Amino acid sequence: MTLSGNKTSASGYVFDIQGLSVHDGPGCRTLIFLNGCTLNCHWCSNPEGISLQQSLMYSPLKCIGDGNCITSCLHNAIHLEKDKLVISREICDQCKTPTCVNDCYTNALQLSGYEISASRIYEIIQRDRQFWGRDGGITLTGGEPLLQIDFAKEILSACYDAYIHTAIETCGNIPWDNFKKVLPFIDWIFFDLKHMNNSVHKRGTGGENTLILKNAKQLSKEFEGRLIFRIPIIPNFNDSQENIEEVISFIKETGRKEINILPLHHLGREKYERLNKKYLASKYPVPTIDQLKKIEKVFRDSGIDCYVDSETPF
Amino acid sequence: MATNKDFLECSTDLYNYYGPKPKGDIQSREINKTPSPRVDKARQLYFETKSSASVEFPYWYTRKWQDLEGEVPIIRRAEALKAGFEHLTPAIFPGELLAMGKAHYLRGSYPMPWLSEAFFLAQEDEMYKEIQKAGKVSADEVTTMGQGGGNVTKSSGNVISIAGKFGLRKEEMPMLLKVAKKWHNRSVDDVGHKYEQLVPDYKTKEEIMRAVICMFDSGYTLPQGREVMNYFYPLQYGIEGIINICKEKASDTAGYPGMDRLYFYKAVQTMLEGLQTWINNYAKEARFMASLEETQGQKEEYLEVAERLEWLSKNKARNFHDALQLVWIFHVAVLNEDAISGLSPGRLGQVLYPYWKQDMDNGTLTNEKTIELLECMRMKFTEIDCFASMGVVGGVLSGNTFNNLCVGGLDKDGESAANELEMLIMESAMTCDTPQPTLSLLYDEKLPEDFLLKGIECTKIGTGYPAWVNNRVAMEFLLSNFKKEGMELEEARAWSLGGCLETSPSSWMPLELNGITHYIPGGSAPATSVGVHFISLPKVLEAVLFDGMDMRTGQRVYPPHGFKLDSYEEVWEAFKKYFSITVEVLTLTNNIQHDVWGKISPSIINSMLKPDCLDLGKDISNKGCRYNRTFNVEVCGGVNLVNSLASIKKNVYEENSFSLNDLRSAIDANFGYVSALETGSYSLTEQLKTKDYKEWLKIHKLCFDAPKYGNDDKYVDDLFKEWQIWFNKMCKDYRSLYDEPMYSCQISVSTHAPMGAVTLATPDGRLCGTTFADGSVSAYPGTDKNGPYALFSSATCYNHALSQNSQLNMKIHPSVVKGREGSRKFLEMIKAYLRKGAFHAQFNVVDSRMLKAAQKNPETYRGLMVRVAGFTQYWVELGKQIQDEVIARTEYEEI
Repeated sequence: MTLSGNKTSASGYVFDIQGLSVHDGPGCRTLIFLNGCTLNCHWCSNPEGISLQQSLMYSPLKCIGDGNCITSCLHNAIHLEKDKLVISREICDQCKTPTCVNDCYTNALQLSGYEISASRIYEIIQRDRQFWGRDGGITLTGGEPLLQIDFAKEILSACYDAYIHTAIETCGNIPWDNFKKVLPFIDWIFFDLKHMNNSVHKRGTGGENTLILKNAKQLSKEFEGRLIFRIPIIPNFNDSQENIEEVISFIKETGRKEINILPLHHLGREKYERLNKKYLASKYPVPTIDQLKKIEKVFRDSGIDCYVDSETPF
Repeated sequence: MATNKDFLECSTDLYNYYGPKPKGDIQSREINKTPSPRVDKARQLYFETKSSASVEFPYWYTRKWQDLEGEVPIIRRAEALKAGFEHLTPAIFPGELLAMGKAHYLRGSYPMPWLSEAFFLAQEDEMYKEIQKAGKVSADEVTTMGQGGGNVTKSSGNVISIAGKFGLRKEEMPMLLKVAKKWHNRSVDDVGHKYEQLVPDYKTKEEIMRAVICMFDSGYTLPQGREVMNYFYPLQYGIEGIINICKEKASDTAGYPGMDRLYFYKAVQTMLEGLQTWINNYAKEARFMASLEETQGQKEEYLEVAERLEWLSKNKARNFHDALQLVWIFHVAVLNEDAISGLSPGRLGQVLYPYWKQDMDNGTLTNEKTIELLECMRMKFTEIDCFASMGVVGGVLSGNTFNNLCVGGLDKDGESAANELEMLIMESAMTCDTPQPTLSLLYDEKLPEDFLLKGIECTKIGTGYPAWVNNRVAMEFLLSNFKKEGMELEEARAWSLGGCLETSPSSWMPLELNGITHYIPGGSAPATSVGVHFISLPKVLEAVLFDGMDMRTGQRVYPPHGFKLDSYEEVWEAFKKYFSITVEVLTLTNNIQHDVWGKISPSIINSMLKPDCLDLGKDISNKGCRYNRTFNVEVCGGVNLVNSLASIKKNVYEENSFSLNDLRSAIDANFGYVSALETGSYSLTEQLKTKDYKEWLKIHKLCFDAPKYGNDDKYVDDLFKEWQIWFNKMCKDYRSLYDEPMYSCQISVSTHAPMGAVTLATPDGRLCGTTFADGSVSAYPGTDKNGPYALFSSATCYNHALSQNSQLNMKIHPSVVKGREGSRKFLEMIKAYLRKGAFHAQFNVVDSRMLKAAQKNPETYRGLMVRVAGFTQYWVELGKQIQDEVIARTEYEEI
């Protein structure tokens, strides 16, 4: 079965497609990780998904220093300096001919992200659909899934037409038009709120929250499906009483009533090394269960349904 | 905050895992339950008990056998068995509600030199040499047993270690050797061997065994088992009742043509009388124990045991407790009759349901009491040891005895057969999570949801059972295979698993209780897994690449295949040629072994139990069973074979990345790694490099990057399908001893370790000596990178009903299935896989770091159980090869 008769399919970049996901919507689901994001959060666990294209990942521990990549590179972008491999990221980020990866026999160099057509993704979804069982569906995540909007729209509309449950997980920092294009094809939205204070928000995420909050309000009005806010709980950044209270009044203003709080984790740390990026979230401790329970209570006392970690009822 | 996990793997690992290293502390299981105090004590006692062998039975058997020289063979056999049973010393253990066992040790068993004596005499050196020439011991040489648990791995003090597993009292050793010598040139093994050599291609068979292309002969190792027990006759008639039937039948047949029937009835009667003495000896012992006992409750329990046994030595069961005891008596009786693994109680919850319902209705039984009894039954089944050679016990079975108890399925009329007693059976398997009996759930869309979720709860405690098995796929297999012998749809529904995963034909038997007829299911076929035992597919491919040579020993196995191998098709043709030679010669030699088995060591008690032996007056080896098309061809390492074919096809013939000679050199150099046999680590994750490893990096990457089964990749899945269709069809071209076509059986049990150990590196990138992929549709560890749905998709690319079984093992981290919601999703996942036509899936819900910790500190993890290739076993009793493999098996984790 193909996507649709004679229409040419859009293509885009994704960096993972993952079945048997159980925490991002009802049932067993297939998650599609789309490349590209307008924020740059310190704690992001998928830093390889921030770029709209492929990223070169380098694992020093696997590298045996045979220099194959240096001779293989057509752009002179890899050098040895004092026995260490130095990668000119500005060149690699634009690279269309990553021969170094094929010639690296130890898989020290790998690519994250690949181009794929919406119709191929739909085929994979059709395959997975046989195994979801009752409930199940797809969740577009990333990165920011609505940045490659035509690509995302084609996937979502095809699924919606095929009676597949669709969800997205968005950072909200995208033009309203992007939302508008896909709203008719979405059942659920997970909407991230990182901080209510604009300047703090900018410090932690590299972007302002003005558009995010505006979109959140607009969505609350226009979107008929289930909207669940999500906050990553980053101690010493957004877990203050004051911020939580502001979140509460904001949510009340939107008329919605559900929030899912997710504890910070450092599982993505190693990816930063492999991207030669600095990991800025080390300074934040992982929240304790007590801290999470306390925040949950504050929300609940204010009449907001708060779910901790993977406890969202689907 | 969904996390993409593709790049989270630990960089020190050689190959990527699907999923990240688990975070935080070791996660313990979500559900932990404990048995009743009585059974808790029994379990402690079991943990502290070693496997022990005795010589009583073989001594008396052999003595009687010699006395009766010249007697009609089946009578001679019955009298010998009777003498063995009658002389077994009884032992009653405090607190047990079900009595009797194989021997007087808690984990007792004994050798059966009439099947094969070579194994004991091996220590007497000249015979050892003679045997080695025949290529029979090499499997033993390459198998390691788990070092802990109840295995007696080394001789010490007054105990001699046999086969690295059983302890024997020093003073019994001379008697064992003396008895064994009596069977020299007379055992099934030796007599069979004499006639085997008349098969024209016999020399090839010897070479095949020496190269460990085939793991074991079938006729004298485990001639019975992998079958479902049938408890109908003792339940319906009682022992005295069956004796009376035999007497009547004997007088009906005496003097009429077909006189073998007369001898058969006489043999059954003789054996049953032997069993009566055996049972009464236990009753006497219980009375004796009672006379010594001062504690009030215990004294009465001994007396109750004695009364029950005395009653059952003649009469029918009166209640559930009686019925359970009677079932157990016959289970042990059959186990003591022959070397058997995989003697399954089958759908025991449905067999015993009428008794249970009667007791529950009249108020003499409660759920709690039922669970306690079922826990006692679990201990009894767990105490069973199977005495066979090191190669068989360690290499094939990992010490497991495969007493598979099935729940669910359909009744005679096609409705759900699940009942409340089966819910309690699953509950008792959680409270008393011992390895036996292992459980399988015969999944059907008609089963109620609460029943299925009980199965999920049980799966989640991490014992590995129940295995989830597809009822409709099994029925399709049975109806197509046994149609010729008259199987109807209704009877197909009675099926159950014999052994770990062998679909076995069964029948409905009309049990009468309180004036009502209940149709209870029970096995109606002989062993369903005899014939050609475990052909190592990657090793056959190795022989293709090296033109018929075994590169480990430097010996020629097959004649040169005569193909130039200048196209992929030639490789495939050469493979089919060598594989066919293997199946042909092994079929013929094993037919001879089984024929000799039927002549020297026929089954009497098991024959009596199986419909329609008693009606026809024929034992199993004379086709007395209702269904007899049960010989099979077993294979192992199919996924490594197919991955290797894909690598050769793509790299050598399509992309010309390297030549076949380059590949041979790389295989010879083990891709630049030290052999696993030197390092003692058998999974791909912990291998040592040689100093020349850089030379082989490129070719190894190309081999490893070639398409791999388990990723929904049509390139390799098509090869898998082609292999499956060809293999399932070709088996039918060979005729079993009973002149019926054979079928395919695809379970690895534990053979993927020792068979991997003798196989060089393979073209799929697997290194020399490392364990193969387990099961038949499990991916090779670490190579299924597109997640479980892609694996499911690959696994169902062909019709599983073509074969007796398929097998998928998955390790699931507890976090994926956490909580009530997790349970529902787990069930949905399993249902979806089975609905696609899969036959089987089973799960290890366990954190791999817990397994690693357990490998380091086995004693701390004495009770830890894992699921390995079709069965459940205590971790510490597994060989290190299998432990390494379970750890490396892809772990699906969702954060």
